[in-house]
Amino acid sequence: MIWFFLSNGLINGSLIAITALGFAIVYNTTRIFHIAYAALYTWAGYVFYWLYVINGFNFFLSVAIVVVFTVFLSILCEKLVYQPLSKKERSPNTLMISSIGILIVLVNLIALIFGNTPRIFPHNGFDLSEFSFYFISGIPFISFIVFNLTMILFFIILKYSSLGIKTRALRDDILLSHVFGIDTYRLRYILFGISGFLVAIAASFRSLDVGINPYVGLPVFIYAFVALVIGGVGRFEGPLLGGFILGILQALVEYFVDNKWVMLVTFGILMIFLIFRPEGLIPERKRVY
Amino acid sequence: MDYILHIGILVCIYTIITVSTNLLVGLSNQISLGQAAFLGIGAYITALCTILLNLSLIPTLIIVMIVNALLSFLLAISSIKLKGDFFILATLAFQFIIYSILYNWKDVTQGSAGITGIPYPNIFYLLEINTNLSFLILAVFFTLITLILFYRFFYSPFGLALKAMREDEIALQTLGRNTKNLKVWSFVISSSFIGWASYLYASYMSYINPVGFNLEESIFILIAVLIGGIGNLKGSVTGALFVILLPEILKFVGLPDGIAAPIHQIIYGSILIVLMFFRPGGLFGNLEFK
Repeated sequence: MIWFFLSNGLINGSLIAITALGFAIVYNTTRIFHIAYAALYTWAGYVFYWLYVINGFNFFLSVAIVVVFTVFLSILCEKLVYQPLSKKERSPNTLMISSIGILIVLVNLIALIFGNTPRIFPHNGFDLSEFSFYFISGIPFISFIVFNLTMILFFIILKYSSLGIKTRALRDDILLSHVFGIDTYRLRYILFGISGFLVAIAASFRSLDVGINPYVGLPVFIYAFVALVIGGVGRFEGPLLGGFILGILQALVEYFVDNKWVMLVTFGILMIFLIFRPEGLIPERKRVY
Repeated sequence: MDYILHIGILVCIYTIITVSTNLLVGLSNQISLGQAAFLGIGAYITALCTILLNLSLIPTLIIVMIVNALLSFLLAISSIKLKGDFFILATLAFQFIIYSILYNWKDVTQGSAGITGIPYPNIFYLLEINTNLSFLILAVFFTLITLILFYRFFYSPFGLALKAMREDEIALQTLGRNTKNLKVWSFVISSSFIGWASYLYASYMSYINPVGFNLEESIFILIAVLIGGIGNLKGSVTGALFVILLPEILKFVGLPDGIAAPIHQIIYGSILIVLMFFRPGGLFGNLEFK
């Protein structure tokens, strides 16, 4: 029985890890507290629902359109709000408040268009529900594999491409990378795009499994940020580690204590980390010049 | 008439909340997403004190303020060294911990069902405040006391030191002020005055449940403060008036309920974005957000 909970923990952990990674690629590099990320998750889920269930599109085609749409929306946030504010040299808190504004507007647009009722995906056409792997039903298992493949791809790009090197340069020092001739604002577009890509994958596979409602984004975002803090802000391995730890921990709490105390334990651990180890499990290694 | 009294009472409650949050967010520049948690603690303590112990107004108020002050003191000393986003995250964690306790500790808080039948306030069992008009008078009285006290706070040496701290913390430290103490005190004062608002809220509504004290409520409080303007009492009053009156005004337009709620939120959100572009300190704010 505990194996069932543990495997569930791994699956949830991969969801938390991929969303945390999508947030971290914006947060670690630009230091924008991008709460609107939660709204991107909701929008991706609903657009996927609209395409796949209401309009009956092919599964792969709908995922592709969702990815393009979310990347576009993510870049739009940067283009219309964050970048003008950054160019006006507004403080980080101002950017955070504007991000809260975007979150509220986007989420309530969804509530306005689709209503407050939760939507569940019927498994028509591309049927995953018959497939199962030991005690895990099909969709969670497939999403576990997809999430992990996406994250592996992400780390390969980060490690070996020039884009990855630029990203790490921006993370280490924004001003210095600007001095060395990186077009930081153009790079930021790409980073917001990658963030949108990751959240689109996460949202479409997750909502296929558990359905979606307008307010689903904020909890996902908050768990992602908790994972980021536990793992460590700075390096990109941090959110990955933090996500899996958080997922397994939540599964253990569900197994040994009770489902209802998961939130309390999660945020209790976050508090402990904030007080005693705010740099996280994998601290950022700063080079001294 | 009752409707106007009802709006008046709500405006008073929210004015107390925004004014006390303004001290924290505006003057000492610590953005807190945990204000609704303090509101919730106060409301539940009020409910327990008045229902189980049958206490009158002043002892309940003192207990609520002491509990809120103690909890905020603990939160403040543990999170004061955190900077920027991490401080916000600590208050967010506090918010979720309190919400989770209120929701799940069913023996005391009765969980999602909430607590019903919270009695109207009475003053030493002599004078019971049981009509909307007398409640409005009580609420206005509380609000005036809060406004006067916070006006004194804002222009006292304490308030001026806070203003100096938000401009340049290191400079203030070199002048020999303990900035850590200043931050802790502003936190404690702010949340104990939120206790007043939560007392009024619980005894006026006579029904509370945990959903009223979730993260959305915290964000709502923050919006009210920011729309009005930070570091300025006029702004806080305006913000409270705005967030309470806007839904009521839009009611007369005749939108159905399912559409009205998202539309208010969209209006708040858009105002927030526009404000951050053109007046980052809020409508009446004379300080810029740091």
